[in-house]
Amino acid sequence: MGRLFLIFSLLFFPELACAADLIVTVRTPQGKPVSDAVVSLPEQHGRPIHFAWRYTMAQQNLQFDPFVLIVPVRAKVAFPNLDKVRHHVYSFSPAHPFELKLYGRDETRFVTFDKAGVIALGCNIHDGMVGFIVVVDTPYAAKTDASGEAVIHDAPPGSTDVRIWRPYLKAPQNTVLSAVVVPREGAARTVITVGVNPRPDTMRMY
Amino acid sequence: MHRNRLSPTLFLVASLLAVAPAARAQVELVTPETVHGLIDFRLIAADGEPSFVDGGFGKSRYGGDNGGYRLQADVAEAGLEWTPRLNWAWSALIDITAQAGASPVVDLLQAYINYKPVPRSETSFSARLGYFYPPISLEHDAPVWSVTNTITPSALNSWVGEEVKVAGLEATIARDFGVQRLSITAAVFGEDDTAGTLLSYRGWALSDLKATANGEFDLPPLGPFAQQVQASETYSTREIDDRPGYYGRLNWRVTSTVDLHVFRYDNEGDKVSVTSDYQSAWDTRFNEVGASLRIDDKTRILAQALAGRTQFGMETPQGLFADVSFHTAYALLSRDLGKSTLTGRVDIFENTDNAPRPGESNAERGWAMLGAYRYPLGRHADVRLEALHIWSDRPSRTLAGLDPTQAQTVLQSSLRLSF
Repeated sequence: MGRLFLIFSLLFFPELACAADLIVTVRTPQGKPVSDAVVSLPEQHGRPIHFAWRYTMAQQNLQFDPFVLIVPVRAKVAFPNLDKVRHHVYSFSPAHPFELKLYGRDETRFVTFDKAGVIALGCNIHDGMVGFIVVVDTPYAAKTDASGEAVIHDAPPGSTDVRIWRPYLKAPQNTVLSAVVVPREGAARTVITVGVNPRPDTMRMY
Repeated sequence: MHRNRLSPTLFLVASLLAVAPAARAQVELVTPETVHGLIDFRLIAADGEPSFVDGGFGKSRYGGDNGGYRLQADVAEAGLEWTPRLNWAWSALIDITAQAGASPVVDLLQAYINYKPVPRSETSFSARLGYFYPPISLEHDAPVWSVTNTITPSALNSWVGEEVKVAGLEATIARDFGVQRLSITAAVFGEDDTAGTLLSYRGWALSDLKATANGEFDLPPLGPFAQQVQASETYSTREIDDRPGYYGRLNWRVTSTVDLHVFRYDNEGDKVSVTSDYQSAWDTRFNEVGASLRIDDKTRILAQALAGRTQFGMETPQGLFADVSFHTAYALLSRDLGKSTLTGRVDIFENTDNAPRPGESNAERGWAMLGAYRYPLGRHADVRLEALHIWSDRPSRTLAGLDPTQAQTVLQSSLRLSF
């Protein structure tokens, strides 16, 4: 019975036969972990994409939280203002220019992003607030954590280029490509070294 | 002619009232974000000559009595900053300050309306109209135009605080090129015709005392010639010749950690207009350059240099009534030590008198060294300790019977409460 189920499964869901994890560690040349880097593999199919995390870009303590958010194309992203002060969130990124006027009353507004691309966020009232939404059209995307590690589960096997994008990366378009080979099962590990510029200062000038 | 010094404020308030009805629903007047304040309790031990605040040639806000260390306690400043928001693009800033030793003690420091529409592209625009400090100082980045890590600003920015404040219209266009940002600022202004008076007759100082709308600074003893054309005090905010001045600024954020700017100021004073209370329209112009460098996450360098010339009066066989070239520069290194911050700074300054009268030259030269330690006590309080040593040579000190060469050490501790 078990064997029959396996044959049936492989027949209709062939990707189950080749489910390996890709574990990517991003570091600086000095060996420091690089967090908030978006690690992704090219799209392999056109089915709807769902990620395990919430599609929420909060404003809290005069910062965007998270600093970098990955969402799939057509995701409806919540922008809750958890501060007591108002925020004027905007983006002029070509992928989806918009502005939201959020009063400091726990107000939440929503934006649906229908094109892949990087949405740089600012607040017209608080110049120090900077955040990024990365809209992807691949289910194989993850963000590096504080240890610089990101895990893409069930990555398709074969040779491919893993794409690393991060704000202030020392690379054209803030992007680095690195060749990887994903096995049919188990896990593949790769370490990618990138240079990262510090976040620019925003001076309060009178 | 004694003009109403509150005219910039009245103008501002009128402007606010004109704009407010259109956007009443979006107005944010009094909230925790729009009202900030500070109070600065100070203990001082200073040796050397008396302060310029007491009408001397002293180079610091708190001085000695020409002997050993003199101990003083003071509430150095209490300030209130109000930044009401009229709608999503229009806001205002009003600073009121109370400064010990200032005349008047309580006065208007800045008042302007600010227009900043949300950017639609990499190019952004902003403008302000009112009474404000031009964007020169890299040290003043806290509410009520105050410094962050030290008690005393550099000689350069102390002078800006005393004599370089304008009532005008300023516009800035900025464009991002990736991490790089280029911004250009231009302004036309009035109410700064007396700039250069204090710098000529008293010289440079290292002081956190700031000019206010009605404020005056006592000058040190003037020579017989200067007494004929200048009152014994100078008002920092005055329009005397009804000629507008201008300034321009170019700022380039080169990388995430390197920021450079150049600044040009000319108050276009006509050199000859004098009020009935002997305040004069000086022609003061200067160039300034500045750099902010972040060495690593904890270490920052600020450096600024300024060179200019100020002139007043008619041409005489000995030159103009007053004609002084001035130069100053400083470099500041600050290092975060976990919670606290350690700062060191070196200043140099110099005046050249291009038309010296016998016995009353406005020339001087000097230097200063500063070490400061700032320790935060939570979000709303910090303690600062500062040691400042100033050496200067100014021949006109003989007018007060003093040795032209003076050295002074000022030790200060500050408890600053803010909200």
